[in-house]
Amino acid sequence: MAVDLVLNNNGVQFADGGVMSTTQQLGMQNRLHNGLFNINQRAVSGTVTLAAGAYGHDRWKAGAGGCTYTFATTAGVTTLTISAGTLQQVIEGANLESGTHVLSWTGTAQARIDSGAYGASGITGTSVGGTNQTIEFGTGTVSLPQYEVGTTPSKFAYRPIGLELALCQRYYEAITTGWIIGYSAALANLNLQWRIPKRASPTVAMATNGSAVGNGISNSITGASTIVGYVDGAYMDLSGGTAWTAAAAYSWRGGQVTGNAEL
Amino acid sequence: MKYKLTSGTSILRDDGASIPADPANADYQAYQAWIAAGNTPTPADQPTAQQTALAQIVAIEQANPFTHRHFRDAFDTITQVIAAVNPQYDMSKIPGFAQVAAVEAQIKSVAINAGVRAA
Repeated sequence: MAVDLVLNNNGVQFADGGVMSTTQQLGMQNRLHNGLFNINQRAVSGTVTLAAGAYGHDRWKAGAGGCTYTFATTAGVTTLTISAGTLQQVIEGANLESGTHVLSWTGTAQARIDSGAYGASGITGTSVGGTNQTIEFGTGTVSLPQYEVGTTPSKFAYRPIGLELALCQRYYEAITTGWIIGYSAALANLNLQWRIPKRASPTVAMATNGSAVGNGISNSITGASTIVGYVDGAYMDLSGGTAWTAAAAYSWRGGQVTGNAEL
Repeated sequence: MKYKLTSGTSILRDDGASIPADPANADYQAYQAWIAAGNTPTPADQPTAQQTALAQIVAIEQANPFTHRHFRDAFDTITQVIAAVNPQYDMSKIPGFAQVAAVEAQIKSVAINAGVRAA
């Protein structure tokens, strides 16, 4: 009788001889996002100084006392050096299951789970499905953080960068292109659709106005009003340096709108 | 951090961000905490004359579904052409002319007063 799968302590061996081991990239066990710190939509650089609650690399924000850190990347692995304060990530409860989880990382920083005691890599915590949980690192170095079910850390789970970006964009996204439709001489409407639906209705900001090009003109946008964000998109009224033409279409260029549904 | 109310349900933060009234939004939670701490947001701006006029135009158009922006512009052009070709032509012979002209007059008046259309 043919044997299709062989289970052993290290994983699963398939009939063709291929082995998927627990030390390979199973991928999804890490409940933390952006553990490689390779998603940086806010484009922080140099010495990153964050006020309490402000975000640096995607999904990572300063703790109650703010945070200062630098970072460097070697062979695709980014290491943060936290020199002051704390850096934390709130894991959405919808991504957690009830039970014991273990937090592991590489580096000298100590960390805690929720309001627990700070400790070295390998500390455990108890998650409740549906309830948010906070992972917080103190001063020192940290790379490859991972929070997973169980009591024994596994090898860091690498995920495709495109997937990781999408995971992060559930919480924050910056859009730089779109279409504008003229409404009257004084107003035009910018309508945007998020690439990834947001966790909740996001806070929306026109970070950079940019310009509108079309209908024979290039119109510098001078302001945005009536900004409304939805889980799947946003719209706003724009004023321009020159008159708009009702029902005319314009290409929106050089601007940036952000949608923030972080925890 | 300071906040300002809007004519809608969103809250404007002093950095220009628009915060939706969504209890799951962390910024809205922070706003609620700020209110709970005894703070008061800046009242919403009163609509400008132009915004009021635009709202009136929309209301007029919605109340009169036989006309809309494109038809209005076409109507203007057609009547101008007719008047140029035959200044003596009796426009009232055109079916619906009186109704359309009345609505157009309302819209034009509001739009000119608001500066969104030339006189």
